[in-house]
Amino acid sequence: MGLYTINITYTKGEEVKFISHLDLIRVFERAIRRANLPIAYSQGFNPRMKISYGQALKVGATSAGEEAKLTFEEEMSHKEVVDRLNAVLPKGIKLLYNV
Amino acid sequence: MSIESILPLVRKPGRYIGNELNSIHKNWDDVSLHIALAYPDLYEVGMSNLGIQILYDILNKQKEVVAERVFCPAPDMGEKMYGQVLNLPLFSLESWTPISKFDMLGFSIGHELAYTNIIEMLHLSGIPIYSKDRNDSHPIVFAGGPCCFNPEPIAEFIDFFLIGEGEEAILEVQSVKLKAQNLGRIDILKKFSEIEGIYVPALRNKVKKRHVADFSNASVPTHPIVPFIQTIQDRGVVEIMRGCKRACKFCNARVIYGPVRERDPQRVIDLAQEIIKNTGQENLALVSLSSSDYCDIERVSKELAQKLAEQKVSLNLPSLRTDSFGVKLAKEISRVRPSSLTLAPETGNEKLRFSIGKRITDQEVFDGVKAAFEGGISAIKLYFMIGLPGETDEDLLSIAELVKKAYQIGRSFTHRARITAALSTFVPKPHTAFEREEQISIGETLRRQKIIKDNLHQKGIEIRWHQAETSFLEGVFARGDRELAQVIVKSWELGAKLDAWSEYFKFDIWERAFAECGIDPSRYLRMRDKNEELPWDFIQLT
Repeated sequence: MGLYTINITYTKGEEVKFISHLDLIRVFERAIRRANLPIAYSQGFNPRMKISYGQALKVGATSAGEEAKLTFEEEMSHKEVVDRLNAVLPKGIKLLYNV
Repeated sequence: MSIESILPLVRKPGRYIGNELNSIHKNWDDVSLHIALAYPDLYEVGMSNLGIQILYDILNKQKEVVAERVFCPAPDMGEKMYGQVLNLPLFSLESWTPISKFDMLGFSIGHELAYTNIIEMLHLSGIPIYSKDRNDSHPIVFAGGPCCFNPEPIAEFIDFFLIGEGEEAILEVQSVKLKAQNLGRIDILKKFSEIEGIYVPALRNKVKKRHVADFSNASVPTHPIVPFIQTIQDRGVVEIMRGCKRACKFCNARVIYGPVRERDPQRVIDLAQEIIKNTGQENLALVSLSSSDYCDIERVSKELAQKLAEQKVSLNLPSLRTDSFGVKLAKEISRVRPSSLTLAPETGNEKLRFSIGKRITDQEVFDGVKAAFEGGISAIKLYFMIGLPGETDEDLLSIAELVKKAYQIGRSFTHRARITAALSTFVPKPHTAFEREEQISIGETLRRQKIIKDNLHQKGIEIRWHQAETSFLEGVFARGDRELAQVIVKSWELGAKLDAWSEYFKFDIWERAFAECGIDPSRYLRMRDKNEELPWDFIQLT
């Protein structure tokens, strides 16, 4: 089974600037489940979604361009990932169309 | 100073920011009734409460109403607000509106040790603490939840109580209020008192407990709020049943959540999937007081576990009976192997267990323990109560024996076997068969705890116990009366708050408050004569 990675860039706005990096990881995992995307999971007893994040942003700071890498089990277009996640993410977090 | 400028200075600012997924934001001026829903504890406890989510959903579905949430600020936040209480009053999460601007403020009260938090929140809101000191410019303060089945200790702070289930009653409340926006305070309270389930302390009216007849189809929040920060119960929840078919004499939950009503199995399955779709939660719990007694528990949980596994969502059944059926089912539906399991034998022997109405034999307890270890679980938690009516020192020794035997069973399966014995102190609760029984004193609690501890020094066995002082206070307030209002206020003045948190609980404050008010708290623990009137007698249960 092939794996496909998509690099994303997202903004962290005023509404969520006090959310810690750990909380943000949960936000993405839950958004991916709501969007029903074919995300890949790690092996083992407690499978985790295959997502890698850039360096953690300080609590309280906003950002116009944070990065993450998502791994899927099916081939996905960048645009489709952005569309489907933006439709379900809470206010303040938005994926950008240009990487 | 603004809210914005304080947030970087406090721990877990995520508690105060709102904007979570599925939170509802309405334009303040577009609606005519503004209700603040409060849970008098920290955000992470309050957001684990299903009642708040249910009422939030029902009220916000009304066009003319907005419901926003508010929780008790942690001490670091509270201190910063005190310093400038006029500039920074307690605010709602959704619109950061001062609570005093709302038309109504409703508290959901889950336990007795939250009483000082109610005072703290009223104070931080700039709302007079005593009901009698409020005028038409203040919100109407109401309360519901399990603690309100004896509302008397807090009756002077609350304008009206909703005794029982709120799904239907809250709609009647909002409709009465909408139709009577300009009515004076006491007149509107009189109107509220005509609603079934509403008790107005100022009127001392008799009240009948409210329950929803059609529970299966009752309103369920299918888009619950998904917190950003980790909460105590961070999961999707579907209630499968209300009430309890068991008749344990110590338990008031059967009374509070009765009568027994089950939710249609297909609706349970549909709701669970819809909630996962709308929240993305990684855990879903099917909740009730005793899930083994639900009509179709095996089929529903297996079918659902299978469906949820496709999305790597795990299913939990937190209240299964502790026999081998329950243990096996819990193991079967679990996606990842659970590392520990909790059983509640309550007593060390079946004679005392049967006398308190919990009809589980010792053999059934050991069968449950065996099934758990057999299934690969290596750690088991056993819950016990001490101070039960009729309990002897031999009964306490039998707890130690039961724990040792459970450990031996575990050792026959794995050398890593561990048993945790958790001891709580029995607190007689209103509306139960034991409502007139004596509660043991702090000294006696310590003595009985020691008997068990002295007989359980063994590798692989750990003992935990409830702080005797906490159970003492819980007992005083559980069966308390209106006299206690002054003690609550006095303790809060002396600095008591978040008493349920061991890191904040200071018993010496309470001792001082009782002394300064001239009240001997131990009299609330005494046995009540069968002819003595009880403070909660005015509540009719059926």
